[in-house]
Amino acid sequence: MNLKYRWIALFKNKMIKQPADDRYSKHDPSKEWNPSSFRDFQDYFDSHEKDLELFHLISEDKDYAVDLTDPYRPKILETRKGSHWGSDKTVILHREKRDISDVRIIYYRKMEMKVENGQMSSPEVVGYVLGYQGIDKNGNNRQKTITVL
Amino acid sequence: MSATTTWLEQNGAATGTPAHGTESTISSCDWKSVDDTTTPRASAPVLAGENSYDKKIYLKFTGTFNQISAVKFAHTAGTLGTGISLVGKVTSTYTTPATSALSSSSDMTSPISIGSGASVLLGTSGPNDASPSASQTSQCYTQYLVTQVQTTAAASAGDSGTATLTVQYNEN
Repeated sequence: MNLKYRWIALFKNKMIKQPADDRYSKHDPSKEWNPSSFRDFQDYFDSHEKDLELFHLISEDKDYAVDLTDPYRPKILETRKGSHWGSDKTVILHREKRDISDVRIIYYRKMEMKVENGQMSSPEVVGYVLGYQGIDKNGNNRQKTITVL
Repeated sequence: MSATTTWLEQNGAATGTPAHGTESTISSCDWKSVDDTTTPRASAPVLAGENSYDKKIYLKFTGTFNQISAVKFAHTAGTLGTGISLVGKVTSTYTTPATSALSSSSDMTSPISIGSGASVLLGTSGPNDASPSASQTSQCYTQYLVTQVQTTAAASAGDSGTATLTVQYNEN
């Protein structure tokens, strides 16, 4: 399945990119199941939580990102790519209003499969979900996601 | 690459612990008057006033994924016609398929949005896993998605209308 959006995680000293085949770096072809490359992101994030600056979803014409350059006030950004160099336009879709800690990235694909007139269909991506969650000073979970297709 | 999904069905008498039927890989699923995956529906019609055998289908997730979660199941489009009801349930318990009215089922005759669908849990050992959960981070199965059509004498002869069943899930 070709994905319209692929992710790139930018840490202070490292970039992790979702490869086209989405394989985990420790992929074992002899196994019926392997983790996806998102496990590489999670593995690195677990030990470098404070180093994550941006988590991008990138397509040919639009990018979305969770911006953690202010780690307590995440932002969700949209960038529309212009036809000329330097003409990209970035807008802030959401800005966290309260300080939050223990911030985690939310990323998944919403999938659907159908049985129509008795015939089973293949899975289809019906949305790419991107966002973050964290804990505010009162201990409440705060979460914001966007869904793009 | 992403998760590989395989549709499976179990048929026949319940055997073993936990109970299960005979597993087949399927690419189609029809409500019929026989409990198998091979007989064409035209050869095993459900007569007006009778019920189909209940169908126990489920999904197996393999391939490449980090986590599967938030599985939902619903009748989302189409109607079967006058005198024909669709009932169903999501369960981890296999019982021998029958034409008696499906116990503990919900009416699924009217289409709904998938967001309002039934929640489905995931198990690592099979659709009858004793401890299924809302998400899994390795190879897994949905619970059984059980459906049955029930008819009255008012049902028309010939093919019924068509219903679309949808399974939705999250993957990363």
